[in-house]
Amino acid sequence: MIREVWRGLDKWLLMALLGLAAVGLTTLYAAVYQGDHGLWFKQGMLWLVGLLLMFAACFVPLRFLGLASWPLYVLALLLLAAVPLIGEVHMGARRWLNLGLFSMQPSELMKWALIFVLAHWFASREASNWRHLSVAVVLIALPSALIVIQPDLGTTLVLIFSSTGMLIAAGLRWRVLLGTMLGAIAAAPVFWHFMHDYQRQRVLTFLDPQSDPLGAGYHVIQSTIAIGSGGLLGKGFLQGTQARLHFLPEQHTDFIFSVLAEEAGLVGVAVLLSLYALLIFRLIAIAGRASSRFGSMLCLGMASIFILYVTVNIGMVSGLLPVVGVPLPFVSYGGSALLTMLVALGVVQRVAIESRGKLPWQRPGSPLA
Amino acid sequence: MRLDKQQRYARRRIMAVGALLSLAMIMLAARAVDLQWLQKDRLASLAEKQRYRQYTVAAPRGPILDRQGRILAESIEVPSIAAMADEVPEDDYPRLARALGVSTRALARRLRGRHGFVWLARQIAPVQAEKVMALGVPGVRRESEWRRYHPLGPETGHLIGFVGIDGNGLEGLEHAYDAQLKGTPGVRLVRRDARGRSLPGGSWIRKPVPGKALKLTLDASIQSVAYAALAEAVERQQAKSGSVIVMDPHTGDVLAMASWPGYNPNDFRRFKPGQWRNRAITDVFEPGSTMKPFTVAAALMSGRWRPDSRVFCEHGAMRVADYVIHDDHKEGWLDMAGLLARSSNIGAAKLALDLGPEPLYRLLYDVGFGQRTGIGLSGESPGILPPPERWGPVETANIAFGQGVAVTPLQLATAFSVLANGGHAVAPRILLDAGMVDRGQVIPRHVSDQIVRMLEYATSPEGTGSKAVPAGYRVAGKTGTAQKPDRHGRYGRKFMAVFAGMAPAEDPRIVIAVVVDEPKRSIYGGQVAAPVFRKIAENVLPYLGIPPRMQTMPAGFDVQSVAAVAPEAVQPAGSLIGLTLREIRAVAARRGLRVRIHGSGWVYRHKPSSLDGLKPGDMFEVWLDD
Repeated sequence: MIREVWRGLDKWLLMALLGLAAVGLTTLYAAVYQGDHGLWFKQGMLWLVGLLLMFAACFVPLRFLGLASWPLYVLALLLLAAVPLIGEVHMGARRWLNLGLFSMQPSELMKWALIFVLAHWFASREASNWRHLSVAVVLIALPSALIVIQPDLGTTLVLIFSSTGMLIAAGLRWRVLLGTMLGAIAAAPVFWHFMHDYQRQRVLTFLDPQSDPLGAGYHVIQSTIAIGSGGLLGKGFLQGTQARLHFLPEQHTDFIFSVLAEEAGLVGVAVLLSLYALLIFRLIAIAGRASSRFGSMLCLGMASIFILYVTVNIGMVSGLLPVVGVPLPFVSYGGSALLTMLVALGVVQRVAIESRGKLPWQRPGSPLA
Repeated sequence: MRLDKQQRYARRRIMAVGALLSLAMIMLAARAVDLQWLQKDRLASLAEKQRYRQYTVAAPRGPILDRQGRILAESIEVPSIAAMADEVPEDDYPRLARALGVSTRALARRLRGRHGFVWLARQIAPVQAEKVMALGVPGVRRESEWRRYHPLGPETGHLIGFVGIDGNGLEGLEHAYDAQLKGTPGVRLVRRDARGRSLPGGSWIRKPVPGKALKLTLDASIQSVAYAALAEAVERQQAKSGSVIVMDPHTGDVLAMASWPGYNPNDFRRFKPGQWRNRAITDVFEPGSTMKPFTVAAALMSGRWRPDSRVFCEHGAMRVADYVIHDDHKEGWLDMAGLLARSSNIGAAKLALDLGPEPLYRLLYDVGFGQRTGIGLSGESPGILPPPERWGPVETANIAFGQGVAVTPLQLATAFSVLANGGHAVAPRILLDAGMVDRGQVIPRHVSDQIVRMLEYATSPEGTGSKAVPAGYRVAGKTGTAQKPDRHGRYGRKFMAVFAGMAPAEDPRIVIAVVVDEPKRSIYGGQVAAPVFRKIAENVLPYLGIPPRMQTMPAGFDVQSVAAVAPEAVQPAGSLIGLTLREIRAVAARRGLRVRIHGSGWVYRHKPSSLDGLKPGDMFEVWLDD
């Protein structure tokens, strides 16, 4: 069976991942160079553990995952619902849940649970069908509502946009999508009214970073300067002046892209974006040849999440999008995000493996396998 | 078929999602190109700008050197301690204060609640700076500053002045030539981090240009001698103050300019501003009898008087208008040399009254009274010399013996330099590279030579200035004892003792003017100021390479009766001063006179002062000296 799994493994996807590991760890080394080198070793260990988990996930039949989708979603929803009641407050928002052994953000779990439950739901249904669609909208709206009141606008938007990708794949009519978008734009002032001050501030700062160059806009201005001053070829490994001199905020987490862009220049950015593009391309390709609609939808959901993370993060540090705390996949320091993403890729690999058929647990004709 | 259609439909949907996601990637790529290619120059310069900060770096001041290049003032790099006030943790205040040697409270007052750059201790000892920096208190930094150091301290204090802590010349030459000494500050580009801490390294945008050196005519050795001699006299006399000037009469070079009490410019704050001023150029006094050589010179220049002309001194009192002039010693008939040697006020007044104001005024003005010397020091006084139309008989008589005019010590030295320089006026100068300012021949050479001879006589045992003569040298000079007018212009019991003169008399190389204000032990210039002159001259002349000529022939006399025919016709105008022994013998031989000779060399004095009335067979005496 191991041979079957290895044969079915998408090698391009694996190479893209290893490439990202190399770029990510190198950049992280530069980012923590003047600080805590221990972070770098920790991240290296996490990569090893994550890759092992990813390979482990390759052995989990998709049907099991399909069966686990609803319980996972319900669990995530319950945890989310518990947050307002017993959650812990960090930095003015109630997002964390202390589960005794560890703390977690139910909203993080929900991102993945929603992909699974939507993939499961649309495995045998169409988004062009109003009834099917409305159930999906409820599935999306419930956690979105719970997350937005935490308040966590960034995760809510990630949730909504990644789900939208899946809805499109599931056959959502363009008219409906267009109408909803127009409706959302029309409703924007209402959202504005209900937004928290810090959220409004972020939006305002996004619209004009220079309006507050020493406050909220400072980070964006500094990261923009760092990226731009890198130029075409960059300043060289460990030679990034803006990073070295602490002009860059949060270098090893949300703003790590600027470190790469400053030291490796446009060339380095091109390499990184190419790796992401390869990753996404492989996800779409696997979605295309998946043996089941469930697997296909999963891949598209994962692809949407990855691309959202990448877009929102890079868009944020380069001044295109408002500042929302989203890590750069596979590059930013952070254990749980890396582990969950690697496990998610393991699931995608499983889809690739099962697309070749001839595996036990598969049931030809089943929407789940 | 239906399945195929459905599959194709699903494929299309997947492609649509892929296209949307690609769109996002393209957007990011476009943004990267935008920032890193199209905007890279602008953003790179923004990065530069915030990474670098410009600092002004003070340039060292130029040194002040004496005529031999010895350092009189120099700038030394010393450490200062500064802090970025908001970066210093309050917990560190006590140990920082201890290292700085201030109270914790005083330190807290400087730092607490403030932002940015604050000086903590400026221009301190390197050892202390190291001690402070060794603490490693955050935000505390070591800066380099230039500190002005004057090696001669009080000796040159008044002349050179001092520099404030920010490097601006505040007094004296440091002030007057600030622009030349200052140099141009440099601009340094220093890298800094986001917290504003500057990093080591950096580059110059403009290097600091050190100030130019100021080379003085002063001679540090002569200055020291002059200062010490003055200090000793002022202290012994418990006088209020004093000044001394040593000049080279031929070039106008000021070789020494000192005042007492001195102050230490290295520590100027401990002295009162009144002590900072350079009395040698700012303070005026009535020159008293030191004015008389010029009165006599004016008389000789008029042609109405000759060196052997006699003037009756009224036995000590003479009425001029409603005013009575007194002499300290009652005198009868005096020739010009005698007038100066006995320092008769009445004699001088009679000459002036005979001349009228205009010629005397002209000469006094020409030798430099009543106008600034233009030496280039700030705060110089022009003195007071009333215009001749305001001179009535009383004023004319008073000015003739130095009352009713006011001069600075520098003016007095300058005027005596004219006499020492053969009647040629040269402006005094303090900068070696300043050109000599030639004011022309203001006294005919023979007149100035005659005055010098007379002044040499005035320092003989017969004159008031005998204490000015160092062993082995001939000097010429004049004492002065001026009463100081009080606040209401009345003369009281306060005096200024003055001596001005030159040495060696036969070929003056230096002119020295000494002024002592309110001496207590003695009031006379001959007792107070003349010894200062002697002390300076006897040290400076050998230093200038003029060895003393000690008498080798025992003092005594040698009577000769000569009845031979004069070998050559030498006809001095009554006076024998300056003649050699051979010439004296020739004169005596021609006139059939007996002569009594003291010493060797040249005649500096003879008795009687004129040979006109002598008959053959009469005896006269001459004193010779090298």
